[in-house]
Amino acid sequence: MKDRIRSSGPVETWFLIFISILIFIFFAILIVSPALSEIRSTSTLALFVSGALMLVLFVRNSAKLLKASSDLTKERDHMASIFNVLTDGIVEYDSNNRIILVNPKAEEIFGVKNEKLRGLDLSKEENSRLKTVYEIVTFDSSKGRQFIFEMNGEKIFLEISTASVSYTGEKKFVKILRDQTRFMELQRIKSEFISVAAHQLRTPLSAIKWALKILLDGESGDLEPSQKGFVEKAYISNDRMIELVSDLLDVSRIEEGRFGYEFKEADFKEVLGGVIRSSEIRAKERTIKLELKEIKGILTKFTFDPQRIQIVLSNLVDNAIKYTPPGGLVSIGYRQNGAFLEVSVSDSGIGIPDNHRRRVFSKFFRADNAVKFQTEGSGLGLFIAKNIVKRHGGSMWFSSELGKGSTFYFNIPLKKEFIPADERPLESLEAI
Amino acid sequence: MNDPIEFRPNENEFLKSKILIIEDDKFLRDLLSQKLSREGFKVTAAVDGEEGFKSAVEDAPDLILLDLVLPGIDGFSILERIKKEAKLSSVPVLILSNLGQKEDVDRALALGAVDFMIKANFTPGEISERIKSILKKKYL
Repeated sequence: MKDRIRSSGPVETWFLIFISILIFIFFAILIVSPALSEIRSTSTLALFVSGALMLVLFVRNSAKLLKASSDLTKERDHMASIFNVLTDGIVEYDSNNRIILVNPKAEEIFGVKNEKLRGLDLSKEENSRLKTVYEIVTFDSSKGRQFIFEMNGEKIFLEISTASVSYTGEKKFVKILRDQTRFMELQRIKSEFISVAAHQLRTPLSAIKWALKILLDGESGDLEPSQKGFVEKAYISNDRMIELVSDLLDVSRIEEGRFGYEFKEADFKEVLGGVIRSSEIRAKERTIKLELKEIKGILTKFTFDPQRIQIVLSNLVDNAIKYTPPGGLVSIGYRQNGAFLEVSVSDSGIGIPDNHRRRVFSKFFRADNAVKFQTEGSGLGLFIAKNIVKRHGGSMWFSSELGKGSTFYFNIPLKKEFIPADERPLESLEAI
Repeated sequence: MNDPIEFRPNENEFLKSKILIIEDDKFLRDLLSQKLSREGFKVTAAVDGEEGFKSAVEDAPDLILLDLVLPGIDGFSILERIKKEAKLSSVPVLILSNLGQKEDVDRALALGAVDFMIKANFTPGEISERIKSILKKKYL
């Protein structure tokens, strides 16, 4: 817009007008001066010419200015009309957290009009709506973008991002508010559906399990060895289905933020020991060496959810055993890294193809080579594991080389102050 | 409580205990009844909460196996009623359900259930073992 104003050049024209005024005054003085009567007629002519020039320039420039200002108005209206139809809420504020501008969507989210908000020092406001606006303005979106608040008894889910803008030499900030309420509602309905479906599935699965078990135990007469073999396979398949249903239930609860954690002081070493003991049989079956690299003198008693961390460890160790060819090695280690306990599970397995790295923690995802190597697997284990670790305030990552092996790492804080205060529904991107 | 058996030196005596199963699925109810009867328990069964509660008041069982998702009144409410009924409040109630999220388990235990088992995760044999260990604690 600035460029456009400059090209119509009113500043330069004003300069020309200024010069012609000077010429005009000069000749006017010449005319009134008695000493210079012989050049009076020339001066009069010059006076008229410069006066006319002045007038023309003035009129032209005014017209230009008028046009520029109307262009500017047009431009502003143009921008404003786009700004007004944005489906994301926009709030602009300065470094003192005073509101400069709010678009209609943001007005709708806040339930407060722009005019009422402009220039307000929100930190001193008692009104609950204005308090919400203040919380949103001061929201630190670098730590997570979800902001939940209640309005008229309804829960509103916002995804907030922050940007800084600078003009007229001053730094201003913009909060972009995406209303995710509908998405979260759909998410909730989907989770509820999974939850109901899973519970409904469990009843017939229990019936199959119990009946097969009675057959296997010979409680309704002995089975032929070949018959027993079939029943055993059916029993194992059924158990796998039960596990899958359990995983689905866990996933839906994690997505809803209702998994339910119990943080208490426990010994990590014991939890890990339990996981290794129960994995030894499977490792032996596949002739895989299971090794624990222990470093003495590390604090292993701290606050975490032992039951959930056990799920994480079992998942990683199970995967390592599952995707390592016979004769391979699975090595588990842990160490203290700053305020965190860092755990690693490495294998000499098939590895993860480069093009699949990004999706390893996505639910239902299984890499091509993993599917070929082991037909079983739901693709839910790592999604669950990663989210459990995240809930602890930690993170999970991996390194891998195709055909050589993978190492999965995770860390969890040793101090309970670092555990996030509450469990939240997953944000849109996390839920994929 | 009116115990049908007195404490005797024979430690397997508790096997004659009366078990009440409250379970709406007929097949599961039958499988479990048969298994527990074979183990020597005296088993009565009820299809829903109302019937189960009535039977409990009349029969004074030694242990109640209670499902949570039931037609009519749900298992949580029945559990509450059992624990409020003077005659039944000390009878151990073992929840046997296909619910089993943490909040369900916490709620049942807070209402006074002695334990919580997810049907799909256990076999009748394992359920029977759990019943025995609960009764043993009760009688020893």
